Amino acid sequence: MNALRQLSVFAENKPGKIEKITKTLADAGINILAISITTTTEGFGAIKFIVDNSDLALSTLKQNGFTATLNEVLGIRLQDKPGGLYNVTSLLTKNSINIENAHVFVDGHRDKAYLLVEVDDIEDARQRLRKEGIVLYPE
Amino acid sequence: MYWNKEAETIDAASLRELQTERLRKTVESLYENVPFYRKKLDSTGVKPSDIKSTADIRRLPFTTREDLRENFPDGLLAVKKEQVVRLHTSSGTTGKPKAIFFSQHDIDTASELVARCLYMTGLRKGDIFQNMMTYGLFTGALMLHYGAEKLGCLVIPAGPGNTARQISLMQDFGTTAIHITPSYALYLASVLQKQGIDPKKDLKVRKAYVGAEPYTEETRKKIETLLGLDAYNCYGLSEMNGPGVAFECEYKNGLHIWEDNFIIEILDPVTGEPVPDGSNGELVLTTLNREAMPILRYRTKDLTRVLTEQCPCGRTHRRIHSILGRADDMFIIKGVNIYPQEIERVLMSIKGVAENYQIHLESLDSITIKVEIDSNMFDGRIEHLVSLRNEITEKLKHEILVKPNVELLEPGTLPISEGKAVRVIDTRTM
Repeated sequence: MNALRQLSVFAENKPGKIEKITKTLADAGINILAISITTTTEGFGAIKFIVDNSDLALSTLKQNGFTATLNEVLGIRLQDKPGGLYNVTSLLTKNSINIENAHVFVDGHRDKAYLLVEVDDIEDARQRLRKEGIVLYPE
Repeated sequence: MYWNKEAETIDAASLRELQTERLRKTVESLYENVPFYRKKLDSTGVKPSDIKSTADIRRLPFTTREDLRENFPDGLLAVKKEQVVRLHTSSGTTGKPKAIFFSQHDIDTASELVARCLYMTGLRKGDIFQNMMTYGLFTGALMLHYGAEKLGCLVIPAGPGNTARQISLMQDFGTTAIHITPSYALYLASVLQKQGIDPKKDLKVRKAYVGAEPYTEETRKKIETLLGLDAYNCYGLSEMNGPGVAFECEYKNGLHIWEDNFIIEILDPVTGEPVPDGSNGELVLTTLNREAMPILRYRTKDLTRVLTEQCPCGRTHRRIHSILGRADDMFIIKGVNIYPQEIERVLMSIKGVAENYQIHLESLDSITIKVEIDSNMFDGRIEHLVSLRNEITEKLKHEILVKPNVELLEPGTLPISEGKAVRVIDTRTM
């Protein structure tokens, strides 16, 4: 896996939506590694996933009538100690990288945690953060 | 370029003369044969011989839908029953339906008018015409069917629905033209897209006759782009033969009404007084060439205006603007008169909005618009959805002067229509 791809699914704020999406993914044998839910006061939102097979997940959801898309996100390695998240966010601020959306993802070996961030210019952010000595996913 | 050059390019003076003569004959027949009209004419003191010019039409009584219902089933018949060869009815959603009778002469005339209509859009012998309208009591499918056969087209009487079969017919028989409702045309486009069929490359359909529901210029453009064809607006109503009363020519700039067969009036829907040429009002039609069931000054409830400029196609029959709405469809929110077509026009002009929408009226001061988003616009960014919603809200507020509550929905959430679409859901209790 070279880039880290996040699956976004459009959702109206209605009971049972997440259940339907996760059932569809489960039936296709897809493992969910991380989930984040964004809602708005306007009655809709997006549910975002990191899964083990993004392409299969996308095509399965579309076939089942969901509105979904894949986009690349940055995965920034978090140190497992007090101040670990602060270190990362202060570097993002220093480099004027604006976060559109963020959540945490623990990798397959269950020993490393990453902060997943959506940014405007992913390539630019990647280069800046590498210069700061930050470890990005995939390592 | 004309199916019937003499009739279609008749000069103004000869047309008025023909109209006057036919109007007098029509009034004579109604006075002699239909007690309902004799009574109405007697009460206004007009005799058939008083008809000396087309202006005299203003002295004649109106006919309303209620009149048709009250005279159900055959109170308005002007010929003996055995001369009638066809019955059609018009939707009876409120009370009894309206029954419309045709003699053989009437069927032949209606087919002739439809043939003129189709010919002026470029349809010719050799074309393959797939008719996706409802066959049956509704006039929509049959009258276009006859007109297309008269031209010498191969007609496929597919009827509406069963979209998979419709597409197979198009592929197997090389359909070149279709007759369809606007909502079904949009649904057809979405099915083609899902199946990976590119209508521009994989199908031969290049003309669509789109009617039975009013729709906006924005919707026409959307249908044309999605299906890769020219869409022509056709207008008609069962009471006036069905489709083919007014039709667009190759220039698609308004609908020609065959004035040798109908007299057009545009009236203020409330006062019944004529509005100046070019102003919006209710279309009122009088049949001039019908035998079994002539109708005087029929209040169509359809809103439009007369386009006065000469059409470049050379046809002398005047044009009307595509139907702007139905006087009946208007609803009032916060004291503002709103037509559903105004809302549709705004929605279809916004990028990121899909074809399907619904208008929900829940109280006297709030309106909710449910809009399906175009799945291609969804990029996972919630802020893009928020700005789309804001854009829809602001543009609608600007148009209808009331701030609507806009709900974004996933494509495929709202019920699909393989016929006439239900766009307005009114759950208000008075």
